[in-house]
Amino acid sequence: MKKSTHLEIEEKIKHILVSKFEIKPTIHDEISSNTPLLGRGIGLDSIEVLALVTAIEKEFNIEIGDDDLTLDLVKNIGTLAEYVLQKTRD
Amino acid sequence: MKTLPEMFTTVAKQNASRTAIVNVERAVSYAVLEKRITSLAAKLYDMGVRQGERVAILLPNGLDFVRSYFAIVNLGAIVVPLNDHYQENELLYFLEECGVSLLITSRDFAELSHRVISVRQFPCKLFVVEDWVEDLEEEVGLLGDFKIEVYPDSPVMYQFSSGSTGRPKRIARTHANLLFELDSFIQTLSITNEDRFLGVAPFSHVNGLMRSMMASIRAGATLYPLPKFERRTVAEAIEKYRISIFIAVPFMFSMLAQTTFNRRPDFSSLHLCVSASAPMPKKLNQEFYNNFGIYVRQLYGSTETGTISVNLYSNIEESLESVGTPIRGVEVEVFTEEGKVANVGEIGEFAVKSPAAIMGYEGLDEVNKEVFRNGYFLTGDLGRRDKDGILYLVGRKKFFINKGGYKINPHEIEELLESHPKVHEVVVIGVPTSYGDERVKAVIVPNTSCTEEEIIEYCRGKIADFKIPSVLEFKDSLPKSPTGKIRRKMLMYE
Repeated sequence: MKKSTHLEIEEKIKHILVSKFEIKPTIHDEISSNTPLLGRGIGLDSIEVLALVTAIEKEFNIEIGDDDLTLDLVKNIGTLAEYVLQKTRD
Repeated sequence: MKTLPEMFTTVAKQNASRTAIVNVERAVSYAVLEKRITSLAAKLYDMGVRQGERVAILLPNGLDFVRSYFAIVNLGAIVVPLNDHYQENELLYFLEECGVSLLITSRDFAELSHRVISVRQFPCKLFVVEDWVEDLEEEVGLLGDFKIEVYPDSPVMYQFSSGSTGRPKRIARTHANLLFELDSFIQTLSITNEDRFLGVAPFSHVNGLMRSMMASIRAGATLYPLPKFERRTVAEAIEKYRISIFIAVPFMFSMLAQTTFNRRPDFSSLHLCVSASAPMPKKLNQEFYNNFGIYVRQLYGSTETGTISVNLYSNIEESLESVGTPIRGVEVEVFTEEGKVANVGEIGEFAVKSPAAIMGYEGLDEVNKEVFRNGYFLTGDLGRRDKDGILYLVGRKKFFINKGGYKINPHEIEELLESHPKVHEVVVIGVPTSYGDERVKAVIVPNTSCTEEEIIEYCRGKIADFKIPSVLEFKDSLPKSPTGKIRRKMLMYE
């Protein structure tokens, strides 16, 4: 599998947010890597974050351990993308 | 056995050396659990808890929850289980509404609990489990001389349900109600003391409380509580502890089915997977089966009645969408809008008659006239019965939102949003997701210019985060009937 760049991973995560969570398609322009996923910002709650993480695992064929699933990991798209990048490089 | 304390004493005697709970890898036998419950009861008595008083529990699943529950019940006091996602507003509401005099919690929630208690109208003590230095022998000795009479028709706990009419109503189920449900549940599902339950569905909610925690104890089985749902921890626990019974909610089964595992976990020890609290989509059930080799059986129940039915059919794959047939001692009828018994296959409202059900809501005679008729409780759920008596849920008259197994009352969120100065009118509805859940959507008619951020920020800290609308739509007006009633259904299907 071709290794994705950080930017490509972020775009794929945004695509998941739009297709699975009905986040507005305009997020591609409106939000940055640092826009919070939880609460203010994209507005996912703790239950939806779990669904997002599961979808990301499937999309990138990686495993996100329970110990890795911290608030820091799901802070924003940037932190998630960085984690995915590391995992896909391993 | 006519009361829960009698039940526990009997079960503990019959299974003294058997493991009751495995908590953080530590096994606690029924004999030791009984002693620890008595010890805590003595402590609570010493703190002033008496018969009829309300004691709230704000704890995750675990040994402390179990012993707190039974300690309170042994004193003839009333349990008020609280969701550990609740925020200040919600906690205050339940403490006030139930007249709670003592809140049992852990250090994780101590700060929040202190804040809530400090604004309460009436005094409420706080008991933080980690701060108690227990002297087992002394505490047990203190209570030894007291005999607290507990009656079958006394309330055991307070729960809240919005039923089919919107506003939350306090429900008190008695020892007789709960014991009937437990006995019927155990017998219908053939549960024995050889079983091992995974307790991951929250004990603060009726599904986890009755069908995992209490069912395990009633059967003399072993309970493996988990404080929160983490997919891999759950999968590892099922495999490691050879869990035989896993009762949860569709969201949890969905997440497990969709998780990428390096090595597929071995779920061969499971002989029963049961899903409750929300409909389980057929596709997700099939996905779970494809991954783990066992189908999930749907269970139907309500806060007012307890467990109503469960699908135990051997040819389960042909009836995945069904909620099965009533458990022992429970009757279900299907009534049309005209109040007649529906024909086979005809859709109507499910009505339930059960010794596990409440007789009515406290102090709400008018509501009771609407929803309790001729011994039946009108559930507000729509469904049909096929020629074999198998029940199928097709919808609901009430508009609850199912989120991660939690039932969200849209009226609660609407009331909160209506109090925002920029909101003129609002309707909150559930929007189905692709992963078998619902999102909370608020459709708002603003008074003046208003942003999504303002609305979400207004909700934060007042209600649990899973209740905060994740989809917001602003409109100039809401669709209404000629009598001015908001046409909620139109918004749901737009």
